[in-house]
Amino acid sequence: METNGLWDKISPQLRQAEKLAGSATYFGEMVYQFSRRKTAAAGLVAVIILVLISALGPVISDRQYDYQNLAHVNTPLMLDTVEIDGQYYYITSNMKVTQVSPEGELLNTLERVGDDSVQKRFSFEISGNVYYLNYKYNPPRLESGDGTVLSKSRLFFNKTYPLGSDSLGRDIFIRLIYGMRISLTVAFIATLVNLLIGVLYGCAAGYAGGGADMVMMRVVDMISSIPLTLYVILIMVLFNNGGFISIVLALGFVYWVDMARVVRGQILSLKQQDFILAAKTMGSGSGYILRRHLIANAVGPIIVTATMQIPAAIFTEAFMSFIGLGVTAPMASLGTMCSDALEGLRSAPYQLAIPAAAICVIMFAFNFVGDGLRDAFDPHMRK
Amino acid sequence: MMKKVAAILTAALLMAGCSAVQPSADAQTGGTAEQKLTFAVLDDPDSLDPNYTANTFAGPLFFTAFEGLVKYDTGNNLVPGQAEKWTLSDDGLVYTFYLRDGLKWSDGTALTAGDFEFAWKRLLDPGYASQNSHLAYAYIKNGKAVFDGEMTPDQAGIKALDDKTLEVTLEAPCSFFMSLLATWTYMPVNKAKAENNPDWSRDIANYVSNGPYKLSDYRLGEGIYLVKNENYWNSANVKLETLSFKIMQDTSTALAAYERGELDGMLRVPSSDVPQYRAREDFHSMPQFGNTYWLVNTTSPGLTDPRVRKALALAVDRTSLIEDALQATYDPVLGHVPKGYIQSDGKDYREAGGNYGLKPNADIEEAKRLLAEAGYEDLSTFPRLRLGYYTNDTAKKVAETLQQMYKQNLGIEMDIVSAEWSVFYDQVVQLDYDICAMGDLGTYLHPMAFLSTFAGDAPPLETGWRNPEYDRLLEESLKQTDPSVSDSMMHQAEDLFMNDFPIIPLYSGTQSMMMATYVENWYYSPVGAFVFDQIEILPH
Repeated sequence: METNGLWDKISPQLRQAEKLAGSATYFGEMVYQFSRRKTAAAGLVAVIILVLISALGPVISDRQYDYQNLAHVNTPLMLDTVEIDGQYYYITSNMKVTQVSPEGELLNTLERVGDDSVQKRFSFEISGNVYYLNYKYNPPRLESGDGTVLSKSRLFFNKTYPLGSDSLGRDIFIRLIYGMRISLTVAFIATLVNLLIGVLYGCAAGYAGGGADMVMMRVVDMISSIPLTLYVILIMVLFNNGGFISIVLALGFVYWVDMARVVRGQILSLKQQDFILAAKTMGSGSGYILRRHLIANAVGPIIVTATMQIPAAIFTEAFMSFIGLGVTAPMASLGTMCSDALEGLRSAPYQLAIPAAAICVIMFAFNFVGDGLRDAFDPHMRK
Repeated sequence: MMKKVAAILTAALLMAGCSAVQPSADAQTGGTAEQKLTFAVLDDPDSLDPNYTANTFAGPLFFTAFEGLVKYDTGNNLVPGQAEKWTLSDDGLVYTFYLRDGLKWSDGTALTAGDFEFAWKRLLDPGYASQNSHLAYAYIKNGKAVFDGEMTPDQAGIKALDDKTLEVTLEAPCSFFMSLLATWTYMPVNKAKAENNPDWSRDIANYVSNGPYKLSDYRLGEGIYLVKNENYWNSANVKLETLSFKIMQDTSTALAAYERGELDGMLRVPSSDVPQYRAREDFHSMPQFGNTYWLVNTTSPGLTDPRVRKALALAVDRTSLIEDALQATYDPVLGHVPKGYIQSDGKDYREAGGNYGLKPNADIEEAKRLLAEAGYEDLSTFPRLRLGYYTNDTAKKVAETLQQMYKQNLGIEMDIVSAEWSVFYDQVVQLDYDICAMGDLGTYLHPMAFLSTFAGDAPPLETGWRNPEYDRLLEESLKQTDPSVSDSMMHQAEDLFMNDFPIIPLYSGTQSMMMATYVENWYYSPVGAFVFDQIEILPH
């Protein structure tokens, strides 16, 4: 590169290099910091996918969460079938034989022709021949008329019920989607309550200070001294077994207290700052100061707290439904799906594993997003 | 709720610990096994006073801690219990019971005929309001008048002639009076204790009983703990030293505990596990004289018309409910009284009684026709009803299945609501329900065990249905000396009841249970009696 003299005209390249890059905005910096964290990014993607599935799933699928097909109870994800004359037959958990199409769809269930309780076998008729289902063995096995064990088997994916069916013959996949809907509704309500009531209450207490602050925070103490579970029970009694509504109301009544504490703390320290004094000196009103200076400066902790509160709310709903206080049957929530599966835990463990895994994924996703946000907003955590 | 939480934690621990557990077969060196039995039952009783409660969950305690004048043996025969012998007058009205020598309460005090007299008079006392008073006042002389407050208890036909002789006079001859005496309702209570303190049964530390076992501890939601009663007349032949009834509402948890060797037996195997267990030696399917039906509130809007109620009974596919949803081997019941009672003409009462137009499968056409007749051609105008069930896995499954059957078969939408048993039962008594789960286990092998449940002005199960003719027929049938006349009167009464459909009959069950192969000499009778007094634990 040629050296330029002191008075020479600089080249366009050099001129470009010297130009000041636009400084990163607060928001841009947050996005950058957030997306640098792989777990946070993955969590966000997972949350978006979950929202899309639960919003669109019921629209796309024509299945209903409560539709029962009692001929197809407890069918697992993989169908282990026995081949007879080129047809495939699946032995159901309640000792019946269901035909399976070569594509893996469940067809009709065969009628039992007889029950021999001494030999411990049921008889079925398939294309004119008698076959026995011998339940002396575990798992039971199909035998042809002369007693030979039919072992030629083939494994199918369950096309009719991609995630299996539950003990009442309902599609677990569609129930899972509805369950996630409930969870995300709870997440939404929790956020809304936090942002509306929590932030306003915290601001008011922190900004007013003194006696008002004292009284308001003691009210918060009183509310948080009773566990959420108890509120739900009390509200259920009040609303005569209101189901999901009572969880929503309980969340609405009490779920903002943590947010109120955080915001109050922030406001208390921020309002001592000189720029607030300056704003006051210049005659700004309280509302303006709160809006432009206090909340704007506390927005980081507010977003982080709101996100961190979501998983706990989702878990509370799942837990309540599990113990029978949440949504009423036949509505599916991840909690009720788990508790329904408990009875058949030994014979159909997938019925518990699937909703439990869904709870895990949702919890992880929101927790990762929350962690990522906290790191992004907190300069001390940056590396 | 904490029970559930504990159950979850237990389940988690069980799963985690499964592989690490050694088989419980400790090297028993030829000697006898520890005489200890731990058995899982479903729920807490609502009272520990045998004269008071009708609650089935109290059965395990009463049948082991108490003993009536007669009791069941392991062959389902009635054998002498506290009574050594008895005589019956020629007119079939006066029973005289002679108690065994030296009977004692578990605290060592003497048990006299006066204790029986006191307990039975309490049954008739309207102030005491026993849930089972109908088992007494319908049979004992002047019982109804005493119960209605028209006579004093002293005028009832119960009299202790001396400390060892009890005389009972009946209103009319009753062929099944002895099997009534084997129910816990007729078990004695300690007069000295109960007279002073109406709440005596709540005082666990001073709880007295007269059976082979006595209560050592009762913890709500956890267990009923019994030990051998040394003061029992036949205690020399009682081998079991400790008998614990663990309360486990979650049958799946109980089964896991059983498999781990923590339990020696359990009541009700989870339905989805039954197919896998039915070939096993320690799996038992005990026939039951019971009927699971749903009550219909005949005063609820939409349900006041019997045709609507019949339509609801018709729209249920019982076969599918039993085989697929419950995965059980129950019998569909198409009437009020289940199978099991043989009439004087040798026929089964149910088979002779017909099926009131019901079928094991659903009859949707007929159901729709009846609804249309009742003015519900357009089912969107049908009121939205509540299907109530008490906290119980099976009841919940039935509720969800019925809800779908009504939706898919008739297009009627219903809401499912649930409550804990005690709350639920209150709602039933106060008619605060539309359609709700119920079941009745006959406590004695006679149609009256079922029919009397809906008789009188304040029946134990309230559906809002009343019929003086029904009450009269039942009363008359008890007075008949000719059993065939009595049978036909009961049929007439059942017809009156069933043609109004205050219930939706579903199925009569078998009780599935696990009992380890090393437990000998036990029996669970069709009327729900736990015959556990002769149990022996073999070395294992």
